[in-house]
Amino acid sequence: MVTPLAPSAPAPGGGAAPPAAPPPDRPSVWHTILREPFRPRAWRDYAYLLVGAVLAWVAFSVLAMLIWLSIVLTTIGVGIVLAALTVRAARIYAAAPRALAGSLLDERVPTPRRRRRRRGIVGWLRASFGDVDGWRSIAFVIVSAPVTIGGAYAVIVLWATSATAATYPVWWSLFGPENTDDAGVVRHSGVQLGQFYFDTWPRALGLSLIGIVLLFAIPWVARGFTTVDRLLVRGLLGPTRTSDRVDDLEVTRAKAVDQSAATLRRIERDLHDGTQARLVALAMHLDMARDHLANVPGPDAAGSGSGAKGGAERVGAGPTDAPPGHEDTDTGEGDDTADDTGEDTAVDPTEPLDPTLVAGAATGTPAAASPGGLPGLTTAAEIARARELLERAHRDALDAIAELRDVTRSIHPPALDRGLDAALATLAARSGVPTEVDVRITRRPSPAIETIAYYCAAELLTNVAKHAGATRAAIVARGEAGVLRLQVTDDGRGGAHLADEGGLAGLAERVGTVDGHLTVSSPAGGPTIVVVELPLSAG
Amino acid sequence: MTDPAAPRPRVVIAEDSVVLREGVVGLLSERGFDVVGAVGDADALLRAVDADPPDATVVDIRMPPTHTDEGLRAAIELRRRHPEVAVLVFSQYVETRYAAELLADRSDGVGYLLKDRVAHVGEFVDALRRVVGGGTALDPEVVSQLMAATRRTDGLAALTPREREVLALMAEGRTNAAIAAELVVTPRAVEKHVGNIFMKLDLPESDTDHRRVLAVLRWLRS
Repeated sequence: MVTPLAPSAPAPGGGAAPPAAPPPDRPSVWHTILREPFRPRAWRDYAYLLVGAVLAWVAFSVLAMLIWLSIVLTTIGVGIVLAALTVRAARIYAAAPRALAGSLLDERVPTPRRRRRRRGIVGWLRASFGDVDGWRSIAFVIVSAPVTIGGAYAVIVLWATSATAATYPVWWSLFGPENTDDAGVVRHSGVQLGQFYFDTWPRALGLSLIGIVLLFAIPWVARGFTTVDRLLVRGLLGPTRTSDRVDDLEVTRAKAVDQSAATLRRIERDLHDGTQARLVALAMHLDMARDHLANVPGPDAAGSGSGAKGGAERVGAGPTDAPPGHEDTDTGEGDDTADDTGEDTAVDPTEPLDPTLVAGAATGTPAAASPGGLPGLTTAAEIARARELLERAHRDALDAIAELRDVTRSIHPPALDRGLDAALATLAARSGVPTEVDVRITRRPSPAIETIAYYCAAELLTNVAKHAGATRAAIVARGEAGVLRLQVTDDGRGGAHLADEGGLAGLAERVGTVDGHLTVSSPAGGPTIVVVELPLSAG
Repeated sequence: MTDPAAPRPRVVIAEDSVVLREGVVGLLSERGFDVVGAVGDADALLRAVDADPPDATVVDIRMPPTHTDEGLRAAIELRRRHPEVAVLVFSQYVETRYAAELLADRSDGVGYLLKDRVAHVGEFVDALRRVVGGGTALDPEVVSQLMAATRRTDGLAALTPREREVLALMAEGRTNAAIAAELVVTPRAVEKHVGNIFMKLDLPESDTDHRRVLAVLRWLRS
């Protein structure tokens, strides 16, 4: 046998196990029955039923009153709050029966975990009414009350009855009660069942025997009631697997959302502070190098005549081909654009030149290394080629910077560094449609929420510019009662749908990852109103 | 290039990336500036300027510790403490808020450039010179983005496209001659546009430079 049978579910605390000694010398049924009334367990059952009945009675009364009040007061709005308070109170009250069951019945159930807090009055109400454990506690109060009270009643009545019956012969013989039956005959009996009088010794002893037998039965009756209670405690006052799971998932999801936001922020920062800065430095140095090369009287000064041949042969570009006209000059006149090449010649005679290059260009000494013959002219061609390459390298570096900037912007909108307010203002300023911005947020949402809100606003504004045909748009953002409400309105042609517009559906999905909502109102002919509601924090 | 006899403007650089900082130091030293300080954060910048106010500062907006807008706040603080020190701020992204805040009280001796502009050394050095000379230097990108966001104020709405172009170039800090060259029109035509802009924005007759600044500011704040 590879997999031994799992031991039957161990009843918590061993409470539900049969009243058994270890298996080897299993006590006989009779032994068990006879011993039962004298075992502490029986008395703990009685105690549980008696105390539990008082508790249940009080709880049931209070609950009934609260429910009634909640219903009555609903008309003035207080009822909702009272109902929410009732659910919360029930969750707190549940600790009492749980403790009682734990101490007297050994039925120990763990306390259900606290639900996550939500902010704001709406959040508080949602959390209250969504508290499954609170509702289960209410159910426990309602269902367990008849069981526990009934059990206590049965125990008390049975005890009274059996005690009376068992001791009957004693007080019957001592006090010698007399009463008269229907036929007018005087009977010496303290107890009667219909016309059956216990007025003889055999009958009295028989009744006593019944009382004693009953005495041994009480523990089992009590056990019956407490067993039901046990089930109720276990089923209604303990944690449920699903609610715990949901709770876990919500917490881990909130963490995941926040963590990914933090990670993206870090990546963006690394790219920005490291790679981007390096690229800018690189592009800057390339530009400087190009400027320096422009100061060399290479292609422009030396290479217009015969040098063109050698140059064209080797690099495929005549040395007279000046680099594209937009090279930067640094004459400091405030006009650094393409138009001014006329006045700012590439060669500045006042600029000291690199002596080796000048020498090379003039005398051709370093050209021994170059295979093209006509050494001076080759140098000119080399310089032209180098300028061209530097030009291209500079452009590539600038492109890389621009691309990297787009990438980092999509990873984490840098505008958010200064809060949603500033970010939305910048967004609106950049929008193709005139856009009003109105932001009132008292408590700053978590970074993840801000990011989602920002991308929603960006996407919605893009939609407005692309599809709506609008002349005006407006962004309104409010942070109240634990909810961030973002509304984007335009006066366009309307007709936007959540279903068929990929962008909107994608947004709704993104918003849904933090339990947010996206609603669209866009009748044909407009206006379009998109409302995004997000919790202020993901968790 | 620069007149060797002219005094070299003294500059303090605040940039947290060492590579870029050293690059800028090298560039500016080569282009006729005297780099008297190069620091890596906003506090050090304020200390350096307090200790020995230079002619200008070049400040990266994002610096430690939070890498958000330390540089901008330091720049605004500098302009309050040392009005005579020109400030050239550069940022990774165009943020209209940043530009507006920087220009909030006055727009002389201040510049806002995109970081990419540093890679166009000519434009960068040029902008710095303009700022040192008490002018304004706004990145063309900043200007075009502000322009694209069809802002509406009564006066601005009345501007013709050409006048808006002229205003945009004014915002960058260009002179009339430079604007004329850029738009390939005569300086006289530019003067006419500028006059129209002043009129439409309802700016009083006064010193032209001051009115230029007012026009730009009105437009930025609209």
